[in-house]
This record gives sequence, C-alpha cells and structure tokens, in this order.
Amino acid sequence: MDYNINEIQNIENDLSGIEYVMIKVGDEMFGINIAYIDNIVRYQKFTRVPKAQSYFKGVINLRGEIISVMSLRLKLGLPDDKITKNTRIIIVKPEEETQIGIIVDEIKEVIELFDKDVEKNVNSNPDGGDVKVSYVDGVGKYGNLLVSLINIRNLIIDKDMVSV
Amino acid sequence: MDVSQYLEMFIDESKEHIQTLSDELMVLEKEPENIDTINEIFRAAHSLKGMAGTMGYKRMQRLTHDMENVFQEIRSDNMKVVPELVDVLFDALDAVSNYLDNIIESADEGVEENEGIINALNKIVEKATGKSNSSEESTVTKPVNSDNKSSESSSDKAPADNSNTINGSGNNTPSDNNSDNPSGNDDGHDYRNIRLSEFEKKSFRDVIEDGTYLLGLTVYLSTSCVLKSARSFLVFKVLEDNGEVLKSVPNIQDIEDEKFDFDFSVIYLSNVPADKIQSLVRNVSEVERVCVGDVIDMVEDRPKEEKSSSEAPSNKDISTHNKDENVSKGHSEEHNTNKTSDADKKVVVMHEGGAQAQVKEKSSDKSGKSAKSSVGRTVRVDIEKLDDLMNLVSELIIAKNGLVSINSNRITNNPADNIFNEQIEYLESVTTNLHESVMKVRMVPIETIFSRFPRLMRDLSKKLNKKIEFHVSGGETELDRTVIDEIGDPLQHLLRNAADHGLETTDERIKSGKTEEGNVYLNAYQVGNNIVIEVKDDGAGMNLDKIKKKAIEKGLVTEEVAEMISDEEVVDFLFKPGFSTADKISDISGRGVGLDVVKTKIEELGGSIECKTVFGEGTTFVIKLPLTLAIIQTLMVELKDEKYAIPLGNIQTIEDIPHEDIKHLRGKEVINLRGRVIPIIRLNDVLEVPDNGFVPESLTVVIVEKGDRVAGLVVDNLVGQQESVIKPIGDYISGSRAIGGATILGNGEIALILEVNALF
Repeated sequence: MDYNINEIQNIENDLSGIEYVMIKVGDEMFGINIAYIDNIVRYQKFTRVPKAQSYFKGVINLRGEIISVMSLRLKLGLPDDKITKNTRIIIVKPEEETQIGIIVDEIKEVIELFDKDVEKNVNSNPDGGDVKVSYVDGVGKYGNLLVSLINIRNLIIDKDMVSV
Repeated sequence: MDVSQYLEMFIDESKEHIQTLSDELMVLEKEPENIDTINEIFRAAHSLKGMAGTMGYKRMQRLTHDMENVFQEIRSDNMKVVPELVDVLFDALDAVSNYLDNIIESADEGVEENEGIINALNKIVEKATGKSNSSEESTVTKPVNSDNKSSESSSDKAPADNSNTINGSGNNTPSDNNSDNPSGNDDGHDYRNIRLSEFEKKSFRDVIEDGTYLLGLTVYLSTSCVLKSARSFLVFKVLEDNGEVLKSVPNIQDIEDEKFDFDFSVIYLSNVPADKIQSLVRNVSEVERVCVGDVIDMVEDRPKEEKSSSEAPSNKDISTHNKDENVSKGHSEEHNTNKTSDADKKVVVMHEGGAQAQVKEKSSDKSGKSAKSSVGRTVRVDIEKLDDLMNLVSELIIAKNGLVSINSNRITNNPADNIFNEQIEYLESVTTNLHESVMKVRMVPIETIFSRFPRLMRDLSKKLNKKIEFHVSGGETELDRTVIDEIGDPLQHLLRNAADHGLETTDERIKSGKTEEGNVYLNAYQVGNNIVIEVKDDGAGMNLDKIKKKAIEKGLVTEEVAEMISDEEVVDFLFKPGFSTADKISDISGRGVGLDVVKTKIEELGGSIECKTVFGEGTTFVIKLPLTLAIIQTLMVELKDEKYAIPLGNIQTIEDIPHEDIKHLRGKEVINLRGRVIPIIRLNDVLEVPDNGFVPESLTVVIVEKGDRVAGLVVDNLVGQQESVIKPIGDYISGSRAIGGATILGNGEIALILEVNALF
C-alpha cells in the first residue's frame, strides 16, 4: 500500500482546501497538487535521449542534477508543444528522491479547492473511456473554470507499472 | 544495560567470527586432527557466544554455546571430528548467520529455535562421549569450562571475587606499596609495575603538590568480555570525568585496538579519594575487579638505570617494583623515553612559569598527543559518508570543467591570463588527484566476497557428488565498494555453473584421462583501469555445434547465418535470455535464467563479460569491471549537433578512414585496419541522431574494444578528452541501452555517455 502526501492531506484537510497550481495546456486547464511541486523553471534547451519514450523530450541540467523532461501535451495525446515565452517546466516529485520535469504551455495561478468544489473521478470505469481519465483524479470548479486535477503518479509512472 | 550503541560493533565482529568459523570448518573437514583449527573454531564460537549473550540474543547464544561445547569435547580428546559432525556444524553456522541477518534487519534475532540442529549436535556429542549433554542442561548460565566461568549475562557483573578487590586496594596503601607485592598481582600488569621516565615523574610530581591524589589503578575486565575496547572506553570515561589519566599501560591506542588481555593500568590524578574511584569504576559492567592505590612514592626521586634521564637522581625510596623484572616494556614506555629529551625542555619552561594548572594541562596534552600520533592505520567509515565525499568531488570536477571551458573560450592577450591558465591547470591536477584519493578510500579487497565461495564449492561438491578443487587467487585485488556489493551474486552464479555444468562427473573425468578432482579457478587481477575476474573450470567445455543447434531451435538465428558466424558469436548466444544448453534442469543451475542476468548485472556496473570455451578442456568466463563508477575519463565526440562521451577505457585508437575504404561483408560494413577486419557502427543511425545535412569528407572512426573484440564507431567530430562525472540519466525515462548515463559539460550542457559494451 502506498500513500502519498495528497491522500494524507485529503484526510487532514477536510476543512481547509488543497492548493493546486493551475496550468494551461491547449485550451484546457489542469491542476497539479502543490505538494508535489518542487520547482518551476523556464523552458530550456534539453538533450535528446535516443530511443526514449516518445513523450519524453530529453534531459535538462538543473543545478547539477540531471532531470528528465516529459511533454504533458504528448502524454495526453495532444499536438506537440509550441515553445513560447510562457512555456514552463514544472519540476515535480512523484515519489521520494525522484524528480521529473513536465512541460506546460503556461502557468496561471495557485488556486485553493475545497472538497465541495471537486467532483471526483468523472468516469467511474477506469478501464473504459478516454485514456486521459486515469491521469485525472477529478474535476475542480474554480469560479466559472473547470480544472482537471492531475494524478501525478498515474501520469508519470506508466499505468501498467502502477501496482494498486 | 543499553547495548544498542554496540549493535554495529556486534554485527561487524560477528560477521568476522562467522567468516572465521566458515574458513576453519573448511580446513577442519580436510584435516580433522588439526588442533590449531579446533582451537580457532572453539575460540570463535566462544567469542560469538559471549557477544550474543552480552547483547541479549539468547537463541544465538544457545546455539553457539552448543557448538562451543562440541569443540570443548574435541579439545579434551573425548571425541573425534567426523564428517557428519562437520555437516551439522555447517548447518549450525548457517543458522547463526541467519540469526545475524535477522539482527541486521531488525535488531532482533528472530524466533527460530533451531532445535533440530541443537539436538543433532548434542546427539553426536552424546554418541561420541557417552555423556548426556542435552541442551536443557547446558543452558547458557551453567559454567561449562574454565574459559567462560564468569557468566556472559551482562547484568551479572558482580562476581564472587569482589572481596578480593577490596582487599587488593587495602593492600595498596603507600606503606604497603614499598614493602612487597600483594598476592594475585603476579601477572606483571599491575599498576605498580608501570615504569615512569624521569620526565614523567617530575611532571607528575609537580602536579601532586597541588594536594590532589596521584593514584594507580589496575582494571581487570571479565574474561568473557568481548567488547573490551568499549568497556575500557567506559572506564576511561568515568576516570576522565573525575580527574585526569596521566599514563596508561598499554597506551590508549593499544587499548582502543584491543591490544591487551583483560587488564590495563593507569596512573591517574584526581581529587576524589581512591575508594570512591574504585567503586565508580566497579560500576562499569564487565569490570571484574579494580585495584587502586596511592602511587605518590613512584614519582619520588630515586636512583634509576635509565640512561636518558637528565635528572640527577637523589638516593631515597628504593621501591620493590623498580627491581621487578616483570616490568612491562610497553610501546608507550619506549615512546615516552624517546621523547624525553624533547619534552624535558618543555617541562623546564613550564616549571619556570610556575603555574600548576598549566603544567597539568600541558602534560595531559602531551599524553593526548602521543596517543594521537600513533593512531591506528584503519578507520571504519560509514559508506554513506564516502558517497557524500564522492559527490562533493564530483561537484568540484563539474565546477572545474566549467572554469576550463570558460577559459578556453577566451581570447588571451593579457599576461595575467597566463597565470590564470597555470592556476587552472593546477586546479585540474589537484581535482584529479583528489578524485583518485577518494576513489582509493572506497576500494575494498575483493577477498570480502571471495571468502564466501570456498564454502559454496564445498556444498556443491557434496550435492553434485563431484570432487572439486577450488583455487582462489587475487583476493587482495581492490574494487570500488559499490561494485563489490553487486558482484557477489553474478560470481556465485558463474561458480555454480562451473561446478554443475562445467565439470564432468568423476567417472567421465576418469574416462577422459583427467584427474579425478575437477578444478575450478577464481582469479582476480588488475589490468590498467580495469579489474578482471576469471571464473574457470577444466571441465568438458562447451560444444559449439550444440549451442548453434539450440540457437536455431530457439529462432535466435537462421541456419544459413549460423553457418557463417564466428565462434565468439556462437558463445554469445549463451548470454541471450532463456538460453540453456543443459539437457536436464537441476536445482543448482540450468533453468535458463542466468547468464543473461549475469550479463545485465555486469553491464549495469559498467563492465563486460566474455566466455571462452575449448571443447574437452574447459570454459573460462572473463569479467572486466571498471575501477570506479562515478568519474571516468572520456572522449567527447560530436554526432551532428549532439555531443556524446565515450569512456576512454574502451577506446583503442582513433582512425581517419576514407569513405571508399568501407567494405561490405555479409551485409555488414567493415574496414580493413592493418590487416584486421573490423565491423563499423554508424552511431548516427544507432542513436537516431536528427540529420543536419552535415557530410564529413572522411570518416572519423573510434576503435573500441570489448574483451577481445573490436568495433569502429563512426563519429562526426572529435571534441577532446574530459573527466566526466557519471550521473544517472534522470528518473522514469528509458533510453537506448547504448546510453550508460549522462554527464554535465563545462558549459552546463548535458552529454550522454555511451555504453560501448551494449553496442556490440
């Protein structure tokens, strides 16, 4: 059984909300639990890694550490990234001692969502429906925006590698 | 008593004892009458028992106790060593190792009682001696022999001879001291036998004028005490808390190294009276008795034979112990005498200063210094600390590479730049040396894993019913600690293979005119920056045709191709997953999971493995491992717009080859280099490098080797040699097998490091 900060916080923070960094990829808004986020850096040149998974762009040097960088767009089956001045790399820590960068189009703001704002797992059947669903824990309502809350571990650790 | 702080020490020492037991049992099996071996085993079992008892591991204590018992009987000629006994002892040893493994994992020995083994042991003893020696009777607290007369139980620290101690100290009044040696102190280790140099006397004398007590102490540890240095340390701590140790025999360093029997003596300065000190020291567990006495007379002036004395002795107080022939000539004694002339001057100065406190301080300083100056040659360091150190060195090298790269990009006309250049070169040589030094610190002799194999081969020999001679050499060869930890399993696998598949049965050997015993060799040696480990047998060798047939069967190769491939390539099939030539599967090896795993493991460590086999003569596996993992010398090359690092250790030469020299042989591109046909590998294709339209005039080919095989890697451009810190390629990304890691260049960019072995 593995539990993470997210789950613990879900229990502890029934009253206070959970903070998410709201990001924009394509036309859609996504939220990443701030507890996983280590750092946000500007887009930088990466080194290609031969024969890596297609959604991995390569590796970057972040203060002496080598960090692999994936494209959220490619992972979600969207068209490849167009690098603009708003493009950012979010460094997340899905597990202890591991780091990975995620390329996103734009970072909006940090939002706080309460339990009542979140509609858990839109699709009750995780095997059916859109592939994207397993990467998304639920949908949060923030003002008039709908924010898909990303399940970082499912996103990064390949689905068949997750043992639940 | 809280023993947790000794757990690590206990684990380390137990490991050593278990290894000793294992080694000696092997000897015993061959030479059942060897009394040295028997004694050695007895001693190791006894120490283990004592340590386990101290730490409160009752089951482990009980088992080792019974092992010890057996040897007690053997020692006293009540029984003989028989093969069944050795088997049971090996089982018992395994059980002890299991206890230890549990302890390492959870600090608890577990609940396995190992009744079966204990009963088997006792049955053998009973049968041989006719005595009943059931385990119930011989519980741990029951004295079995003189060696463990005092109980191992740590709480039991007040042996009956306590009264002796009090008497002893009673005798040690100054007046008694001058008359005769009290009985029971005839072992020559008494504090009264400490010989002081004139200098020491003088400085001690200066100190006691202050009204403090100058005491002599002799501390006797319980003979069952297994953590002697730890106990002594506690004693010293008590003493230092209440005063000052002026001198100790043997010196502090020897005590720390456990270079003493069970007693040591100190000259001690304190304002706490003798009886108080005595009871304080007595409170340290496993201290059997303490003799304390005033030794003020020892520092009185008196005639001395010591030639180094610069003092004119004044004739009074000839005390008996000065004539005593038993005077210990400890290391510290010599040390101090040698230093006398030098130190004397110091004393004079101090004396003129007239401040007592200062003298006190200085003299203790001196003793501290003399202890430090002879600090032992080894230090135990947590591997994590070494890893941290290595990481820092890596950072430093990256920073240095940054400087070098900035410097090389500058246009230099300024004379000051020359100095800057020189300094950078100096920095380069320092960091390289630093790296080498840290690397050396991490090196461990491969003996640490080799030592477990004789036992393995013995067991295999029994199990397979083959006579096996096992030859080990090169155990002193050193390898990085990380590699050592990883290489054990692959080697074990190869040795099993050698014994099971490699060697023929005894009958077959006799038929083919070989010696009855099969030979298995395990050799290690260093070649340049690599360590080579060979696992060799003189068995039947492999039938290449059989391997070929199998490969075709498994669809690894077509029949036509199989006809053409070289012997080396045939042997390579062995390393393919699921490939086993064994006709039947035994529980020792031959399940077809194996050599491919061995190969993967070794390649993970940055090494390579090769197999040479001669049908009818035997098989040799050659493992080549890099000396270090973290930092390597590399050649930076360019492929189109990308940079890659090739480990220098793999590179033979670099050649410039015109396009037209490339020939095609069996569908592969080759070059003929000075009479040798070498296949070439176009890295651009293998690594799928995006094309930038660059076409070189001729081919730059880096000739790399893997064991006896070579290949040419085609690159676009050579950048230069660089010290590269190998970093993992990042989490979750799974790149080509040809990428062994990444390194950060001077300008902050990342270059991937090629895993040359994976390209073949």
